[in-house]
Amino acid sequence: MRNKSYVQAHSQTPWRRQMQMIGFFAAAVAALALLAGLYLNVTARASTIGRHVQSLQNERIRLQQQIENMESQLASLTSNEAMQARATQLGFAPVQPGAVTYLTVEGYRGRPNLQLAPRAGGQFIGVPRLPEAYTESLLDWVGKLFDEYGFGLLGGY
Amino acid sequence: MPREHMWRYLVMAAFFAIFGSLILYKTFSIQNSPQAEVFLRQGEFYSREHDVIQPPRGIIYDRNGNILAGNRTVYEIGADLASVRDPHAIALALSALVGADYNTVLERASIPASASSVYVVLANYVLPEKVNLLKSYDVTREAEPMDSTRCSNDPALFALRCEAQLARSYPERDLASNLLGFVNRESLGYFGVEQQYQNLLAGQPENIWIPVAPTRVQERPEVPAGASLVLTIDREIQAMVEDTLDAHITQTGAESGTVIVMDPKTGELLAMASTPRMDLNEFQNYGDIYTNEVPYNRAIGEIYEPGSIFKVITAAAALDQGVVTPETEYEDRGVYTIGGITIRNWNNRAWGLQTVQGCMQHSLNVCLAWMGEKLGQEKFYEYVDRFGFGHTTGVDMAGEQSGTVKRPGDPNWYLADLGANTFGQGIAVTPIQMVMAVSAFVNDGQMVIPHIVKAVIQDGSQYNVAPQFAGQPISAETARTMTDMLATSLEGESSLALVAGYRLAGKTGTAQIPVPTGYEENQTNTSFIGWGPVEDPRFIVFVWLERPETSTWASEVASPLFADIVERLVVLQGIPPNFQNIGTVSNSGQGSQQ
Repeated sequence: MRNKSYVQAHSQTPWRRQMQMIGFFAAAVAALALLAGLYLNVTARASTIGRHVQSLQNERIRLQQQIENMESQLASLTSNEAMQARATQLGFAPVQPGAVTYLTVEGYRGRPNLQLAPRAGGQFIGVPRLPEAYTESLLDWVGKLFDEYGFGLLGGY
Repeated sequence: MPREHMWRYLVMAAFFAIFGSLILYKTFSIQNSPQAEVFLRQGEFYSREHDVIQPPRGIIYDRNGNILAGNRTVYEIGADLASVRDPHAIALALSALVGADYNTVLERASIPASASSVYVVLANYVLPEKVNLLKSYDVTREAEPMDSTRCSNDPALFALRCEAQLARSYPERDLASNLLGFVNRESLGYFGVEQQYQNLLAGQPENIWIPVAPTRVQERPEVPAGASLVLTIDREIQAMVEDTLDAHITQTGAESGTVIVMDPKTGELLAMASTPRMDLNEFQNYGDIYTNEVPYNRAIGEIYEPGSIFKVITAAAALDQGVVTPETEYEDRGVYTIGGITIRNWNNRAWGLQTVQGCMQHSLNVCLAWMGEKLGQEKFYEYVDRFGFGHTTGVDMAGEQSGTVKRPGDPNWYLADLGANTFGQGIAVTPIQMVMAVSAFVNDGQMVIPHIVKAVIQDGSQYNVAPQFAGQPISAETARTMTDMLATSLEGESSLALVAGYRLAGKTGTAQIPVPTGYEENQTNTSFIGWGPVEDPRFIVFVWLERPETSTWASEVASPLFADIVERLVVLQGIPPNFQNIGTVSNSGQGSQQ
């Protein structure tokens, strides 16, 4: 009889049940907030890195243009006309045929052919690629984990 | 909770339930409405930006790695219309600092911003020096950094954007301009190598979509640059040839000139020059320089009646067929009638008993017409064809002409044409055809195809171009006989084409210039084709001076040009002298070669 009245007294306390519901709700909200915060943090970092990647790509294009430009400038500075003018300024003059002394060197076959790149069929230089970790989102990463550990089957594969 | 207040909670709960349900319903209905696809497309469109990755155009090098055509940075200046504050200030700044037209800029910068008018181009192909002026326009403020797309530090010019891009650059300016061609502002190659290898040099532009959201940033695809070319041209030889040609044009008062220097064994063109030339960085002047249908490159694009240098073809054919030998004798009476026309020698003189060697040495038209008739029209034109006349050589430059050869059976061919053709009149050829034909004399009868590209560099690999041959019109023995006969001819004539220390073979050509009513009086085309050293030929040199004024004879104007070029060429190529010839030639008398 005493036992029964104790159980009834506990179950009939309304504020306990309300507190319990509020507790569960608050825990759910906290969990959601934590997830949202985590997602926001990862997304913000991904955005920052993404922008950085974009700016690096633009920088690379700019540098490539700069290299091309500087090569052309160098070619202008060492053009035939410029070099001739410089040589004349330094007191040189074109050699006259009678003034040339030829020296025969055994085995010398003259200037070799210009080689600006390996011959076709030679060494292949692979193009470096950006790792996926730099571009995938949190959801992409979680999805990949699920796929990796077979949970993808639950998704209807 | 008091029961009397319960209805309030129920009403609120019902309100939120109905409101939420309506939102869900609307969301669901929008997603499944007929307009949903349009919304999705719009969303997709605004989530990314279109861009075209234009690969840098391939570089063109000479055979020693000197850049003949590269790329330089130029700027496109445009305005973000929504940010334009003062169109007058923009127009004033661009006209004063960049040289743009004030009214055009004002008109464009005054366009009101709208959904269809966001950005407008105000000036293009602006050099970096001028953009630097804009970037530091306001001296009271710090200059904009070069990597910023903003053009100016002045608040009135904040709407201006300077986008860097690559444009073609020719560091050697007009050097080798006739063979290089040029690239216009739409990146299209015109003439020469630039047109011939347009697709290879330009590469493949790629269209890409760039996500706007930074979280979805993707790697830009690697678009390979256009292939680079290594030409067979030697910059130093090319410059020497152009300088020498220009000097002789001035000396002789010639209307134009053309020179080709080729390695006879490989077909590699070491130099190719003709007039006029132009600074390729200012290709917009093309129309002012090349007026009245002047060919861009006479060496491949202009046909002319070659005159006596064509006699080498007739003589080679006759020797190859065994119709004559160098010792065969012919009584030259000064006239020869064929097909109803009378052929005379260049000096209208009868030269008496001559060997074939003598006929070539004195360049006797009468003798060659006799030789051609003895050979027969069928065989003569068969050899003309085998030597490649009437066809393009296949040289890898845009704009090659095939020449004009009338053959038996053609409605406008007469027997008289055979007589004229034997000494190079009534037949039109290009200089490059003559060079290819003569290469047979150097390569044991095999003709090498001239080419300008030595190697292609693509995707990090170099592909070297191998020599190609265009058949064997004559035997090796005939080739050697011809070379020896022509070398002896030059020596016997004390030709002005001779160079001390080197044994050379060659032939002059003085040709009348055809006009609709016949041939011009007192105007000639003078040319010379020669090769050497005879023991181990390293070069074929062809020269042509059109309508020289100081003399109408090739032996007096074309031969000295040939000699001047060869004299410098052997130094640049490092060819030591090994032949004791007569060395200097007296200028007192004209040689009897035309």
